[in-house]
Amino acid sequence: MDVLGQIQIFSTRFLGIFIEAVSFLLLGTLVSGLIEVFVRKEDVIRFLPRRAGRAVFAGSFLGFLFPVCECGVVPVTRRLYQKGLPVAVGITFLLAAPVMNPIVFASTFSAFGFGVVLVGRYLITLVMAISVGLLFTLQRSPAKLLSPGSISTLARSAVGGGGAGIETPQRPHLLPGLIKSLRYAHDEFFDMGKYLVIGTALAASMQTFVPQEELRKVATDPVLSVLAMALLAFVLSVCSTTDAIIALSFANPINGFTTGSILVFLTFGPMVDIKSTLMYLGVFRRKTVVYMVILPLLISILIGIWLNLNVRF
Amino acid sequence: MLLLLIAIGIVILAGDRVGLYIRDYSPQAEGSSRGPITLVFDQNLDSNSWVGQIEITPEINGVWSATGNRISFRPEGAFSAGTRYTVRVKAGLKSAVGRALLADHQWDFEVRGARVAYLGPIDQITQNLYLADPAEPDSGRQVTFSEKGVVGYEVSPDGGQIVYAQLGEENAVSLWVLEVDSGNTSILLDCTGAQCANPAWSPNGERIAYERVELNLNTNMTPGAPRVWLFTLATGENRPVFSDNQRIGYMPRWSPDSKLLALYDSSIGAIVVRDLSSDTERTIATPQGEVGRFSPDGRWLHYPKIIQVPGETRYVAHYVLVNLSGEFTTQRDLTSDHDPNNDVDFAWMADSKGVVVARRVPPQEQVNSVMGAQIYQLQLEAETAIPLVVDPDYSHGMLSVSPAGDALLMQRFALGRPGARPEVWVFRFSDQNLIRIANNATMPRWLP
Repeated sequence: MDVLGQIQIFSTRFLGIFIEAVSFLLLGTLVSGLIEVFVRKEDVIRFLPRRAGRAVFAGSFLGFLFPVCECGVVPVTRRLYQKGLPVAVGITFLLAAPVMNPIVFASTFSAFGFGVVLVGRYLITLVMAISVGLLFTLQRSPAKLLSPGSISTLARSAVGGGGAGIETPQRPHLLPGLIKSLRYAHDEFFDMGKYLVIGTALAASMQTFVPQEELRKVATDPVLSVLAMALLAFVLSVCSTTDAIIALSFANPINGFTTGSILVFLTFGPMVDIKSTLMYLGVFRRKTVVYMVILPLLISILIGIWLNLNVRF
Repeated sequence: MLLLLIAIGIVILAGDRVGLYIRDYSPQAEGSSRGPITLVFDQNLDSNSWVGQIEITPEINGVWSATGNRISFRPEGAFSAGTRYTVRVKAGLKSAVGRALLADHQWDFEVRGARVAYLGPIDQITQNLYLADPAEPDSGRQVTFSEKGVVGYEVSPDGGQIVYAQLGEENAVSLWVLEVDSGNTSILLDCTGAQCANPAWSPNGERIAYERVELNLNTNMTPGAPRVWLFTLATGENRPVFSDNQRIGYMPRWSPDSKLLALYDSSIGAIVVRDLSSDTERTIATPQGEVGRFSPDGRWLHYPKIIQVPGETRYVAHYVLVNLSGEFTTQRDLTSDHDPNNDVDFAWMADSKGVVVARRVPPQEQVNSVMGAQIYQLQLEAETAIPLVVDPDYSHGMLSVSPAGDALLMQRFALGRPGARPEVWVFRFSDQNLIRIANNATMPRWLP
């Protein structure tokens, strides 16, 4: 194919991913703005269990309170950090929320019905998010996990209100509060938006220039299919609200991908893909992001391969 | 991370405990004498590993084929009715990616006796489909309940379904399917504004060829000429056989391997034998406008020709056999042009070496003034006709040999009997026994 044709395909795919993702980023930043204005630090502290393990477990279900996909979850998490959310709980929320929310439940149910894929998606997501979250509880210093930019806003937040020993601000009235939250949302949207643009461009490039049909050749291989779907999930960067429909197209019963690999696509993909990885770098240190990518990848591969080799679907 | 990598390695080294597995197989408890035996796996198969990995007991010759994740077996003739067959799939059969069947899989099934389908009652305005068991004469039960009537039908190769043409509103005829075991019916092809009739089910069960006539309801024109269309069951694809819509065709007939479709193309006055895989065709010029049937081995196709009896003013029909096995078609007559007999119907014997014809003997040989067509057996390599059913009180037609080749199904009509209606009968070759299946019935077909 000629260069112009490939550029055209690239721009179509770029716009496809961006338009789909940007609406969720907008939603996420709006929720983030509302949290900033209307949620106080002690609300978060009161809501979360004191013990780290329980807090991590609770964090995996926060998506049902803040239903956002992987694009919107990053600004929400960053804002919740400013409200005192422990880093490990935030990471658990970050990884789980794109799946653990009612919108994704509905889309997965409509694609696969009630069965092994729906149940598997939720169970595996819980296992992955909680495991990774628990590992991060071992590091108690937020400064070693969060990026310097996040640390400075955290510090400003602590000084500005809600910190220990500092008087807690009153909740603002509704209208001024809404205007204020829109301002926060605006800043947040453009702050996170640059990562979204770069991530989307990378994802569109991978989709355009890396031949995906080759991956289909290993669809029924119990090991290679899992690796292929993990790679596809990372490259395609599909929003978790619609990925079930795409997964369905890979899952035809005759020569479709193995069930284990479909579950990898539906669990690893919402946690980590090209654009979300770029957005993570806006919140966390590079080393933290490496762990946030590699650990879910390995856990999902382990579960996917084990399922393929040991469970008859 | 290292622990996770080690865990992944252990899981892989522990090996495949699921492997390739059989998702579905048929027939399960009871099967048709025509088969097929079908195995559906969860993955596409390695193209060579399955050869010799499946056994059928008692042994029977037939053709194995594998496509994708499916293996099927069709017997050369038919499974023996009443016999219990055991199918064993040996462990080790591999998928395209090397996953193996981990354990032997074995099951057995019993072959049911062939049943008979027919249309009736013939003396009413509308007819419906009936099924009967030859072992229980006059046991026919109605299986379709169409208000406007069934005008034609065809049995699926395995006998599990019947596609039938049902009259609807404004003379439209649509194709419906009857599930024989459950009795459920459903529309297969809605032909509003058209008549879809004379369905012919491909022997591999995948496609249905049928005639389609546009009724031109909104144009004040008369109905159009028939065209042959193809309907693919798996995909629902429905298209005319000829891309040129000026080509008229009717009377579709499938070759046993489902690769060839013969039909009469009245725009060129010839039988067209079309190879659907290569979209090539051969033509057999004949003005009679009728297509016969392929022999069970696929070598021959017959059609009728009209000739004048030498030295007489009388015209008779004889059958011509077209040999399709070579690159070029060759033809031969079933009987010599000097033969004064009039052959009005034809059916292949199961071994393709002989035929059964309904024959009207010359007037000088008739025992009464109304003697109808009688049934004779002929071998292709000998002109001697062996009388099978000769009863001057009856005329015979609509012949078909049973899937196992042990019986002949026919329609009989009692001549000279007031109020007589067509009847459906079965003739057993082994003991020459004639059994009446139904009265007031027509268009009999075997249900394997």
